[in-house]
Amino acid sequence: MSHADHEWAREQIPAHLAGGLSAEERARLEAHLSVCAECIAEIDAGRRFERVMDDLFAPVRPKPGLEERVIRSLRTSPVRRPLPAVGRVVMGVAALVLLGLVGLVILEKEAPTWIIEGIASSTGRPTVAGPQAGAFFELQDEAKGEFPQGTAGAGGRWGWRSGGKDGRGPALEGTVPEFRNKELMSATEMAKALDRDLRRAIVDPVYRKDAEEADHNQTADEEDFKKAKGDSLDFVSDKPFKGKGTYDTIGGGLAAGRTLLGRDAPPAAEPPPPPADPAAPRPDDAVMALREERERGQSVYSYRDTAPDRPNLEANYFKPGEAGGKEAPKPETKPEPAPAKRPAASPTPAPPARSPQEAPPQEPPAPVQRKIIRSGEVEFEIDNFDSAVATVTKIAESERGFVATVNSDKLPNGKVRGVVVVRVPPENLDRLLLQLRGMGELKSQNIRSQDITKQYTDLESQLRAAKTMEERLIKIIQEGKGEIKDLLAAEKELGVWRTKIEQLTGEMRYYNNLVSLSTLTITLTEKEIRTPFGVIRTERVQISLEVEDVEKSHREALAAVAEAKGRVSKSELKQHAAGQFNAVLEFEVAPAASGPLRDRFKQLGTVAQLDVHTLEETEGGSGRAPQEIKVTQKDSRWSVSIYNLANIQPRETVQLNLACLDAEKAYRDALARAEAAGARIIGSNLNRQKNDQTTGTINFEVKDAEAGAVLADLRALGEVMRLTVTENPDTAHVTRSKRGFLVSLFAMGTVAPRETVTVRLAARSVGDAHRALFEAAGKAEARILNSQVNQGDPRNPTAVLSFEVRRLKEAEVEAALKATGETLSRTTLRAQDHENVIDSKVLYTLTVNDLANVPARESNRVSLAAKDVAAAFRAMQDALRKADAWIHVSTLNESDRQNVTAALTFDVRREQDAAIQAALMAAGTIYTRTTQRAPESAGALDTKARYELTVFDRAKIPHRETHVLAVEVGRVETAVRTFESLVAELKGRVVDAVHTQQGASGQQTSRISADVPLAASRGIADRLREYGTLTLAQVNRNPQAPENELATARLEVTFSNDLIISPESGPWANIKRGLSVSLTAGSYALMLIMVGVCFVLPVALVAWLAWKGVKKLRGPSAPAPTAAS
Amino acid sequence: MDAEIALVRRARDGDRGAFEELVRRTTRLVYSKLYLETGDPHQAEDLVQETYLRAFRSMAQMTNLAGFRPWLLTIAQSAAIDAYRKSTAKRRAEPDRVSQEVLDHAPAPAAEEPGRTETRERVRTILQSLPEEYRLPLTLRYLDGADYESITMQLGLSATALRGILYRGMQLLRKAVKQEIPHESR
Repeated sequence: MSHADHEWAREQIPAHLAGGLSAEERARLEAHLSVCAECIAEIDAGRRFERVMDDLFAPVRPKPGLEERVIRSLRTSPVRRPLPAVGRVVMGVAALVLLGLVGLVILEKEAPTWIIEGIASSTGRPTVAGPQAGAFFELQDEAKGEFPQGTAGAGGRWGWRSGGKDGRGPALEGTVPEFRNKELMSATEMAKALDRDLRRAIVDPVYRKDAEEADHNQTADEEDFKKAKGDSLDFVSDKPFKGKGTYDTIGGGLAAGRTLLGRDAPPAAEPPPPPADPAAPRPDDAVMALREERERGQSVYSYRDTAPDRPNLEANYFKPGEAGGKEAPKPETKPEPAPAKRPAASPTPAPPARSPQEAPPQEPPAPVQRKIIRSGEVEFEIDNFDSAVATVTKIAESERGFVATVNSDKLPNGKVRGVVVVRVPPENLDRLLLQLRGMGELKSQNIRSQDITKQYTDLESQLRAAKTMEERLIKIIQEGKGEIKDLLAAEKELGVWRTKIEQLTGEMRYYNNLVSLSTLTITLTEKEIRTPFGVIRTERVQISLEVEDVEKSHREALAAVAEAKGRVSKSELKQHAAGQFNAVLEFEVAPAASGPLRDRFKQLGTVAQLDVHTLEETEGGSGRAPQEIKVTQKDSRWSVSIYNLANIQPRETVQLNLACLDAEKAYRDALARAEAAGARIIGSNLNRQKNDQTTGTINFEVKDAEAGAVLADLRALGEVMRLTVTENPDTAHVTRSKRGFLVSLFAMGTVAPRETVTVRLAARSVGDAHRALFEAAGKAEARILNSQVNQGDPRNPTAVLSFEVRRLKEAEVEAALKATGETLSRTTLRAQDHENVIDSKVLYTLTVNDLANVPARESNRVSLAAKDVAAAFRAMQDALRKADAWIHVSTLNESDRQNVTAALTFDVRREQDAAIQAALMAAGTIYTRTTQRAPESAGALDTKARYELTVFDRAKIPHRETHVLAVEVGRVETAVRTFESLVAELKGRVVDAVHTQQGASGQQTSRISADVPLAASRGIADRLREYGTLTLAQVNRNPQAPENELATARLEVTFSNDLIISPESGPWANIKRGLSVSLTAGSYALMLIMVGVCFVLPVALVAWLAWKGVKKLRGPSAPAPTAAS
Repeated sequence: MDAEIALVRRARDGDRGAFEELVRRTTRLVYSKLYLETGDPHQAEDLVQETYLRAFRSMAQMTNLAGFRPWLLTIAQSAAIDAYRKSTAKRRAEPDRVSQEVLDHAPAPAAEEPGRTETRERVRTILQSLPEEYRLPLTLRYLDGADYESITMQLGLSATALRGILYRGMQLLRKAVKQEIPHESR
């Protein structure tokens, strides 16, 4: 037994146990086992282990036939063989095409209307969807069976809309259609509430009336009833007609409600019946009356209907009065309707039957005879008193009356006024008055009534008592019993009572007289009773005199009055301040003397005021005076005022403002002139600070005669700035005999000139120019205000000079200005001519600038192409120095040897311009040149020119033209060589040359760039055609580059021995086009598919959800069987 | 081996018979695999059917004809995972009632001595923890009680190749079982 054999055997044991050894192997293993106890044990252990495992796993081992079961299930289960790849692609494409078609259909057909309607209705906004939505609702309504008729439904539907706005009544309709809509819901609720109210309104009054008839005392729920009815009244009376109209559109159950409402509600609208008075003696009567009224079909409580009867009652009121002793009508005889009306007329229904004693005195059916005195006064204006009295008498008699008294007065103006008293039966009084109306103009009328029933009744009872007493006493006396003394006493007493009876009877007769005949007092006045009969004429004279000597004039005036036999009532003489005298004289004089006296006073002095005032007074009336009337002249009343002029303001005052060269001298001259004219100098004032700042004022008054001359002399003293003549208001306290002067004198320096000249000058030397101008100003006697030379910046010195000069010297200044420098700008400003400026001098404001700093009007921008830039630059510098130019900028940039540039900016005088031009020509060729002239207004100089010169290498001039040429030649090298020689011939140069060779195809290409003069480039294409086939000839012009003798052309020539195709044409364009078309189509298709997906997706989603839901419902039962199996 | 590749190709091209032949050759393997994964013979059998359904559906996509078994086992694995997921989801959705029901209706292990199931589970765990090359052959051997020939067929291995695998696997298993369950391996 070898070790290897043992190892092999051990390895084979598990296979052996599994029965996997071949016969040979098994023999070998068994041979080994026979000698190896270890391996036997191993096999045993393996067998045991296998048994254990068998035991362990036997229950979970699959039942036999597992494979067959699997195969069977495979066969039975619906195995869907997956489509091959091609099939799947086809399906996918088909699905996409289908989706796209769906999208296309949707887009083409637009949105079907039923979808939109569906959407609109689902949002619940009928206003948006319009009639379609309306139709939708209608359909709904019909489906619900709420509206048997479509039209009724529509009416109801639109009804709620307007109802919501109009108010509560029409909103009632909203109860019928029930929409699931908020707005509608609220309307419905409102309507429901109304419906409740309505029902109450319908039911309650009926109930109430029944209850009322049953028991009048039952008032327990009165308040409730009233409240409820009030609500319903609100509703009904709000819009009763509207409500009724709309009810017609409501079908069904409400119709009954309407009819109830229509008949019974209006009575309910009337105020409640008066609460029955429980204490009323016969309430049943009232009830009976009510019942009767209802049976007659009249409104029970419409007490207003009786209103027209009232005036009759009132008219009746007065009638019984005329009856005198007649009995008042008994209540029983009253007209029939009275009992029905009476309870309605007063809040407490009065029972019709009542004892006469209880009736109130003001009641028309008063049982007592009324005693009423009627009297009146009338006033008439008539033409003739006597005829009027006759008329009155006639009328009074026709009315069974008479004229009691006639009183008349004759007035001084012949007119008559009188009073006629007429007595007439009271019942005829009104008619009498009507008749009297025609007599004349009625001025006033006053008719009174006085009720004396009470007094009369008292008298009656007193009389009755007295008569009884009398009878008693007579009886006593007749019986003669008792003592004589007593009998005498009785006799005496009887006398007293008889007197009393007489008295009472008389009084009663008096009253009866007054009652039986009314008294009418007629006042008659003739027309124009106020016409005057006389006129009194009074003359009033008021005179004011201006005199030199008041005292003397006063004396003379008094003497004159005395002479005219006047009566002096007042005379006074007063002296006031400043020598002012006033005298006042008042007197009366006979009218004849008035005229001469007036003339006399006029001689005393100047009459400042004379008022003659004639006053006429009428006598005996205020009316218009007739032609022939007596005129009485009364004495004239005079009032004379005499005064002197010392303190009287002149009427006219002259205010004069003068500007003078020498104000002080003018002041003195003016004073002297005023004194010479005998003026009264009121005030004068001279204010001298500096000689040229002096001012003065003089205020004086001068006699009117002298005033003109004085004014003329004063005006000569200087320049008049202002002359004002003021007239005081013409009152008593001003005079024309003198004139006031208020003269103001100003030195010239204090007055601003009217004209200001502002000049800007350019001079070579600012300092010199300033000096020259300053001297010129001094020579012209100018007043220098400001002088300033500013040389802080040596390169930009400025000077300012301002002065005032008289007009006379203006020419001198102008000449100096011309001589000094060049005028850049000049502004002349004339201020508005007002009182504070004078025209005789001019203000100059001069600004002097350095000529060098003033820009030239003409500026030239020159770019110069030079072969050698540095040399040209130096040559130009020399030329400028020679021409004495101002060089501002001078640069030579040699940093890039290939691109040397130079720049020069300079100003040159006009006369040197030609030299500069020549120098420029010499230095190089002018490539571009721009000349610019500044506008005339700008402060620029014409005498110099500015140059901005740029010098650059002529080799840097950009190409005017670029020729792109392609030539197909047989041999490229030869062509290149020939072309290069051609370029040299044309005085050009080859800039660049690229040779390429492609190995395999043998294609050779040469690109050559060459610059040639522009002129030489003409016809280059023709020259190249000689080389071979010209496939491309293209010329690009550079518009920026100028075309002159320096212009060049760039030739870019491609020589090739193969076809050169421009990349911009051919198949590539077609490919691009194709791609773009396919892209467009693709995007369109994608859009269609997306639309299709959008259409299908929601449906699919809903379907999926539904399926899921169904699955979920059936879910719980599904796992049970599996668990059970 | 070449014969089997030809079978796979025919099955891929839609030959039902060829596929059924393949099913016969691999059912036990798949069952073993699934039993190891689930520990429930019924579920394992259900999953076997599921696996072959899936395999048949996706047969056309198979590219590596030689790798039919690994491919099949991958499908089985994913089927097992899906089943596990579904069961946990169900348990989460209906927590107690169903599980209680399952317990009640569970196959009554009356015949088995108590502890057998537990032991079996432990052995299954051991089998699962074995290196991959031994796991399925040993499972086939002891779970199915398959003989050597059938194991080679199921695994698609040569007879000689299996011998070493079986021997070394057995050593490992017995050692592990002896450690884990000493009383069983007397």
